[in-house]
Amino acid sequence: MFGVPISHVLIVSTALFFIGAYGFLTRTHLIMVLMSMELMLNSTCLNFIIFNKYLFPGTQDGLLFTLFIITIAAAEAAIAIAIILNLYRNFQSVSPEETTTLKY
Amino acid sequence: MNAAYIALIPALPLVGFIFIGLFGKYFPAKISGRLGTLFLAVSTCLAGWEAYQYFFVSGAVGGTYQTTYPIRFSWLEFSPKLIVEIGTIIDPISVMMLLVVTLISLMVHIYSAAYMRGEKRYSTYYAFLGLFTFSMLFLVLSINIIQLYMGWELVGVSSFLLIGFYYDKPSAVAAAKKAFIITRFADMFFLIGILIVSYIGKSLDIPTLISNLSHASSFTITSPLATGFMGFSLLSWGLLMIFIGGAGKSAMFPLHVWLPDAMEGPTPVSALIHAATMVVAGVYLVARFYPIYVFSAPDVLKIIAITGAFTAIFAAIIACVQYDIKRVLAYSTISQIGYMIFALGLAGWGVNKYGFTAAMFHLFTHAIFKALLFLSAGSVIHFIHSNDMRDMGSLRKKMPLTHIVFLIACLAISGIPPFAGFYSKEMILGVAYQTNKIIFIIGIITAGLTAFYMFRLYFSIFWRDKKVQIIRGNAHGSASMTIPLMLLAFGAIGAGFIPFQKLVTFNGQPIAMESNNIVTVLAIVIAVVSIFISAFIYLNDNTIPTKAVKRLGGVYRLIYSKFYIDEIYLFITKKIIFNLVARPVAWIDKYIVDSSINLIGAVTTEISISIKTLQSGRIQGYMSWFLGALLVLVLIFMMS
Amino acid sequence: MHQIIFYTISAMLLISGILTVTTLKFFRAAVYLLATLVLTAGIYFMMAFNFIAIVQIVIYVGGIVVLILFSILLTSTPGAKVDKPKWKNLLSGLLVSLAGLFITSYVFTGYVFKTIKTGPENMQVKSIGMQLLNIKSSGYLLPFELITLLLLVAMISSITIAVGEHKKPELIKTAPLSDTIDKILEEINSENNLDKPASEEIDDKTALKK
Repeated sequence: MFGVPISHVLIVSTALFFIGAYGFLTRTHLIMVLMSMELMLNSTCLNFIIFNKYLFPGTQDGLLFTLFIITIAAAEAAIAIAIILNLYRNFQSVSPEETTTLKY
Repeated sequence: MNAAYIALIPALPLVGFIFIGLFGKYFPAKISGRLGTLFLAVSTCLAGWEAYQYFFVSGAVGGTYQTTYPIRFSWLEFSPKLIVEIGTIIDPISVMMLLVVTLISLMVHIYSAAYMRGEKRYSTYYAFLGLFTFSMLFLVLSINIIQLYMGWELVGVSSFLLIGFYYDKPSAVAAAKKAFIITRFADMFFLIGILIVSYIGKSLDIPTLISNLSHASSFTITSPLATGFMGFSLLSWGLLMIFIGGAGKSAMFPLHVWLPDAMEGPTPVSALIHAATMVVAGVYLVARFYPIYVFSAPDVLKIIAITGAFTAIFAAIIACVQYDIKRVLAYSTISQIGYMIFALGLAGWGVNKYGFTAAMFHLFTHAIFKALLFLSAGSVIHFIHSNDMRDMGSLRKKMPLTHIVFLIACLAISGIPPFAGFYSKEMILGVAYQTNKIIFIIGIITAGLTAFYMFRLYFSIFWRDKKVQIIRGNAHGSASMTIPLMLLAFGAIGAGFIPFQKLVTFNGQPIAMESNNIVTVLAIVIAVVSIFISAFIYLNDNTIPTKAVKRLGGVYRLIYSKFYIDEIYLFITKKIIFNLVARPVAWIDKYIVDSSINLIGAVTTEISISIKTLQSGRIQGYMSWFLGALLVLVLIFMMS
Repeated sequence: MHQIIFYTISAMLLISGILTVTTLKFFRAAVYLLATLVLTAGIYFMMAFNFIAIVQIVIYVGGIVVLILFSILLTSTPGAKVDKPKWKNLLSGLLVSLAGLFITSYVFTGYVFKTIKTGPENMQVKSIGMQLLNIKSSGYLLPFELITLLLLVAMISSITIAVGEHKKPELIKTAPLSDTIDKILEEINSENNLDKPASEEIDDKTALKK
């Protein structure tokens, strides 16, 4: 088959996910935060593909889910960028630390 | 017997009330008065026809006056067993009351046309009169205890409206409130009594109740509830509470304080409501449940008799020293109602035939001559523009007609033959003589006092020499004021000859009542003696009254202040209830209930303030909490 | 051979991912993101999921990253830097992500995975389409339809959000209607970000339906 044990591949996708999480938590610009989210989504796709490959070889369900996730990611990116532009207009800033009016 | 016209008797005043009340402002005030009078005149004619039919044509079957229910339909059906019906009951007392109410109301309507002329709320006044007449007739014709209560409350409301008719006068407003609150307080007991009695009697229907509760096989005899509380059975308590309701409306002793104040209303209203009709509703109530009282609760009847007798003499004593002529008449009314009440209550000592008839007879005659007294007093007040008898005197030449009818009414109420009051009062005293000597003595003394204070009033107004300042020139208003006076004067002379023993009796069968010579002679003698004493003191302006006042001193002041009953009430309500009950309750409400609620609110607020900073609006903060919590959950899941 | 390529790609993937989230320059971050996504597509190729790898490159690289680049250009200058993260955020981010990494790795390294289900060896693109539009069991027609609806909603809402609250009430009140419309149109044109997301999404759709 592939020659690599499944756990190694999973470690790659997990690491990618938490790199994304780290970026989400630390970035000071909303577009950067969006990029981190893309990383996280990407690692999820990878995870689906991995399990499809190792545990359900010959089927396509994981693949189809990946397809859906990619579609959702595209939609989400479009809306997120629209929101970011709007935020920039209203706050003259896109830092997640400063756009905090949606609170108590 | 086609009975639909009976429904018209109460319905026409109601139509008048609605029509005048809604559209009265669109046509001249005079027309609304005429309209109301017209409606009531038709109603009175129907009532008279009905009385004639019932008493002389078709009411008696085999010598017994039947109780019939010409109109009867179920109004509210809660369950097959719990039905509130509305209908009309036709028996001797209801027919008699129909006649009294419509007749006096018609007189008052006619009289008011002149008396109230020029009032701003003239048409409103007639609308209220129509409402009152409807309510009273509705009450009288009640077939159901709930219907009775509805009529009862309606007369209370219309009485409130009419006492407070001059609502820009603070005293009138206070009097209206006082009357309403006191009668409402009594009505609370009435309602409790209704609940108890209808629970035991298993019906709301008055005839069914009477038949359930006045036979040997009735519920109370076998029930454990018969033992009751404080020596009275539960049924007795219920009946006593019904009587308390009646006592509130009829101004019996501890609840009488509203009636003198109610004289703040227009004088014709006092004649209608507070002399002739509404205040005898309590008498009517006891009479309506008379079989139950007689059979199931003679003890309560004893209480009723004692209350009535005490009220009679108590009010008569107060009436002797009052100066406001309307108040004298008000206390006189209380006293006379006391007569009726104790006449009914005398059945508690075993003689149940005569008291009922005597009370009803007195109710009838009293309605006529007391209305006459009030209306002629109204004429005097209209003429003099004052209520105080010290402002009056030597009016006999200026108001000859009023003088004569007032004299007739005074003779009637004092019990001088052949005027109406003599027969009824003599019948009451005769019954009292047969049953209870103490009450008989009280009755005789009260009769003397009655004659005394009525002639005190009469001499003060019409004989005592005094320069009277006259504001209005016309002594007798117009024909609409004199005609009712004359009609009622004929009634006050002739009503005593109506053979009530044959017509209005406890079970519908005529009773034979031989008059007791001792009683008759005693009653006449004491009345005449009282009149002479009164004439001696008040015929001329002399110093006897002031000397007597000085001699009596404290006793006089006690009586003049009406035995301080009002002050006692104020003391009880203001000092005791307000200070000992209301204030602590208010304190508890303010400081314990409210502050516990405030504490809850404050704690919530504090907690919210302390934790609201968690909602910072920073998505990264949310995300780190979310991921951290997720990891903790995963760890917990792994450990378990 | 496979192992060597895989570990190389994986190492490059992780390094570029780390660089994506640590570099302070917008453009570099975007380029590192691009590299990460392309390398992920490489892993898909290695696993013989050719179709999904191509979709990844077309949509992610060709669509989303370009979109992000556009928005970077719209909101800042090319060489601009972002601020450094705060110490507090840095600490919590490190803590959470490292703990998460270790816990998750601990979970699946101790677990023995077994093949659950196998299918036919020769996978074709046609079968993907067949399963996607199948209404029988294991068909994905309903999610597919939902996704199309979602894309429509996303398109409309992104337009609405981007146009935003630009209507000035006093303008509408006073000026004639045609002036107002002109003004709005002018504003919309000046933003010129409007048609880009929409066109991207249309691209996405065509790519999906391919």
